Amino acid sequence: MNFLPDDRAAELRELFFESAQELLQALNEAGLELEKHPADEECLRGVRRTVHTLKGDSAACGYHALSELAHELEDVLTTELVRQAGGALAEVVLSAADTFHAMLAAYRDNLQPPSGEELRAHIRRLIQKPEQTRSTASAEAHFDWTEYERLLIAEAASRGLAVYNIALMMNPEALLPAAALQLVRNVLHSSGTVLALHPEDGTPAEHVGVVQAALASAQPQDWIADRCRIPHVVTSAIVEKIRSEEVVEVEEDALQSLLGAEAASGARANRPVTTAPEKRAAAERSSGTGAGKSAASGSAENVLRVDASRIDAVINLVGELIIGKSMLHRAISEFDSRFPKDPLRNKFAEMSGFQSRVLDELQKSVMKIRMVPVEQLFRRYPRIVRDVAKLLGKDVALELAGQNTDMDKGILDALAEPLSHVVRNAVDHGIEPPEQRIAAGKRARGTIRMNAYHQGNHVILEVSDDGRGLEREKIVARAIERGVISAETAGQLSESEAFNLIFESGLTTAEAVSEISGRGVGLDVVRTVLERIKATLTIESKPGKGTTFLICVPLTLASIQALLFRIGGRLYALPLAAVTEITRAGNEEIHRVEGREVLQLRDKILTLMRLDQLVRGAPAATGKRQLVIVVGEADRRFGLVVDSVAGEEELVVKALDEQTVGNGLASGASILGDGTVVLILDIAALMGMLSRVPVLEATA
Amino acid sequence: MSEPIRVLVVDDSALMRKLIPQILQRDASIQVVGTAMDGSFGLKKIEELKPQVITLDLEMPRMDGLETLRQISRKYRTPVIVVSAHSQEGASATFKALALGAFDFVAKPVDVASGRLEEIATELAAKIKLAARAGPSRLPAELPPAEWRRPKPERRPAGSPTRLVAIGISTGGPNALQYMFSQLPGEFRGSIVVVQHMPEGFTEMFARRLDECAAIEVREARSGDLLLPGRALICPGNRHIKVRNIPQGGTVVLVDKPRLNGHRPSVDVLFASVAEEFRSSAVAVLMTGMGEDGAEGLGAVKASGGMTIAQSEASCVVDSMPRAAIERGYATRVVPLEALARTLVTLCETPAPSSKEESGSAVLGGVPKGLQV
Repeated sequence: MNFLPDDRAAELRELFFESAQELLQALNEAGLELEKHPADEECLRGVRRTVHTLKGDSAACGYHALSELAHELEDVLTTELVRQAGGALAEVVLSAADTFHAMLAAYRDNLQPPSGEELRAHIRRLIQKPEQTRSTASAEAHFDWTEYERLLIAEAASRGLAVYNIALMMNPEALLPAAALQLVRNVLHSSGTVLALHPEDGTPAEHVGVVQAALASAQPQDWIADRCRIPHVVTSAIVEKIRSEEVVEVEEDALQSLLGAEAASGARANRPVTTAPEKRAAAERSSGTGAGKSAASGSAENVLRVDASRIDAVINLVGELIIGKSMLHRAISEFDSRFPKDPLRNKFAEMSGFQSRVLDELQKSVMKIRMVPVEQLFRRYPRIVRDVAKLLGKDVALELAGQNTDMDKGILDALAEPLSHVVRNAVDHGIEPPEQRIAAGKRARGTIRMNAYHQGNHVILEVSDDGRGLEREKIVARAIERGVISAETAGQLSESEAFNLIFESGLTTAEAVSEISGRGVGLDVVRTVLERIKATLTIESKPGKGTTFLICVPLTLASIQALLFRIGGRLYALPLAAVTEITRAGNEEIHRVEGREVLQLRDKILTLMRLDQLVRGAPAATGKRQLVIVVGEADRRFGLVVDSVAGEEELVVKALDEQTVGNGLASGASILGDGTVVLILDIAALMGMLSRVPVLEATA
Repeated sequence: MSEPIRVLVVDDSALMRKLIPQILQRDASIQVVGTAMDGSFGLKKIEELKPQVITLDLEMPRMDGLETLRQISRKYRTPVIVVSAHSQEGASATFKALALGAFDFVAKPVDVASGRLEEIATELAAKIKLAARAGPSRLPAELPPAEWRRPKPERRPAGSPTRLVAIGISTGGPNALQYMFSQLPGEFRGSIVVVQHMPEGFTEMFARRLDECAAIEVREARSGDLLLPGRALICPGNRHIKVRNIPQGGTVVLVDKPRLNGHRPSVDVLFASVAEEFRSSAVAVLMTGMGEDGAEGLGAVKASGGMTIAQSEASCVVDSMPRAAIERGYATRVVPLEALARTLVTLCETPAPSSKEESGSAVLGGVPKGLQV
């Protein structure tokens, strides 16, 4: 019978898994922090708070194994421990994060969670350390008599009787356990006065492994021991005489009050009552009111958790609205031309202006909903760097910058995996082992920097290391050897293009294939994912100095400001941000170099591209002065020869599937207000085309 | 129907902020008007929403629960129910919270998909209603400061305890007991056994806290612990406690029988065994609390010749337990909290008339009946 309806419970569980992920992330971060500053008590309190919340939440959801484990951990995380355990503590916190993660994953899939024994052992080691020396002494046979039993023992001792502690190991293979137990009891009772006996009557005989008794007897110790060793029933027996001062010391207070002073006078008298206040001090420590450290963790209270798909639905609708806006624009301009004197024109213009302003705001606000700080992404990497570096015996520091840069959540999530490949790769292949670094005159500790910043309509994510750098020759040689490129094309590759070869599947430059960066598969994945989210990757590297991966990601996938133009009667678009300038060139300004058309634009040489030839092999347009759109940045510029420019418009990008995009030159499509379909060209693909296909052969 | 009680939930766990309002949703007389993720937001929301009762988590980042509570009782005096976790730290903080004026506490909800949640929901709803009725919180009178350690006497009072004092107490108990225990002298000659309604996992810390502010020894009871003069044993949560009279004065036994009156430990279980074993040398005290647990037991102690005391209604946080006993005529005396310690000291100065011969032979005469094997 459930108190909450099933869907409610399921909803709560979903919320639990979500917030648990955040808690684990916090745990990971705290673990790394503790590794750096093992004595940071504030940090430990943070850990305890996190574990505490996890404990409470998992108990609420009925995940008891997790809750209990968290409870055990919470109870040992005292501030004393910080002083004693030092670095071992960080290890436990990190291993706890891993264990909890595994348990959560199991719960999510309705599987039996792992036992967490490993973590328990870790915890035990942690708390045992300082006590090691003390605890070994009394390991043999431990008799835990209650106060009342100790009183009986003490009384018997004070009357001069010899009292023995007896421990009998019961034979687990005894045929009739109940009878065996009874036999043992009978033997004990016939050997003297039984003052205490564990287990008490009524305990199921099957579960009794050891029988403990306190026996007052006039018989010698050996005689008792012999009697107790009942063949086939008792496997071994311990009989030890209780020294009277031992008992009396424990029970001095009780004895004095109950037996009167003279009975206990044999023992040291008048000891003050001790109440062990030292132990208490530990539990008394208040949890403090530490200020949260991370800037992003100070998120506001009025946070609404919304399913991402709901926001996507809104974004799609806004997209439709934008299309509607341009439809309206067209209708109005048609009206304009038809009734140039109608007074309604002004009203239309006004209203459409108002509408577009509001729509603009609406779009921006909706986009903002999806924006999250890059920190959410960056948080994962300290742990990855630490683990990989540790595994490889390297010393690597990770520096993060630009965590507050905002980015589309969908893109951010998609980037997590490729970026972690890049980071692993940097630790594995970029940073050299300490010996090599020292030999090269560098600091033994390598550094990886991650940075994020806005650039125009893009976010740039940088991962740079100060490692050995890429060796162009080696990469190119390997690529030729693997048949990725031909020896001829190899010569024409720019530096960056050569480096990009490391993303080809089956190519890896490290001599030893390691389990961390995989077998060239990882970087291949990077490229696939980046292509999907329209991101470009540039590699800069200086041998011996290090490598920088620059990932350039569009701010958002949903809409772009685009330049529309026509080639061969068709409408195309390019992201406006990619367009540097539009120029006209007379035929005399266009030259041919190495089988390519080039244009000298001021002091720069620009390769020209004619899309109509590329696509259909149709004859070049024969105008006197060609219209050229200059695309790209810095050394990666080229000119696109177009028939006419059709204007600038905000396009809502609709994804294209593989079948629609036969040649891979279009990254998406959009519908204009009048229903015309426009293809949005993929700049990266165009550049790739430019470098590989000798354009002019066809026209020559 | 009157207006629902406006409740604010302050908890740093997103899950709890969702779960607590949901389990309270069933009760139409309670309305959760808002939630806050830490103390400083909580204070803002109090200003804004003017809740009648607040549920408060103690472990929170930035401004923690105790600091929040301090500010609430200084500025708003809204009654607070602490939602507390099962851990030593949690229990310790809970008692500090009660000393700071929190109305009561409940354990954190567990097991969304089980029947136990209903129990917790009912308990929380009942406590919220009581808190709303109690109105603005008042600081408990003259509680010893949290850091205060009362010095213990050099040695325990000699001899057998003069009387067995059995105490049953529920809502409002932690503060009332701290207050009363801090007034008992170190040479107190009675032996005390306490049943305080409290979830498992909290009683150990509770006993420690009492021990710190008392001159007598206070500890959580274990089976076989002796009833000594100047000692108080607190029954652990989720177990019942019984006493057994032996020539040396007595001992306690913990048992796992089912709940009685919806409680484990139950005051009635303790009082019944006290009546049977100690008869006229028993003193039973029924103190502040919700429900009727202990009322019948008090009657049993009275019937077997023991002294019975009910805490006066005016000095209770919730008076239904002692009132039930008073109404049935089971209470020999009605004593306000302030006078309770003095009353017990006077009662325990001399042994009860008929218990003299029992404590006469201090030396072991034979193994008591219950221990023979």
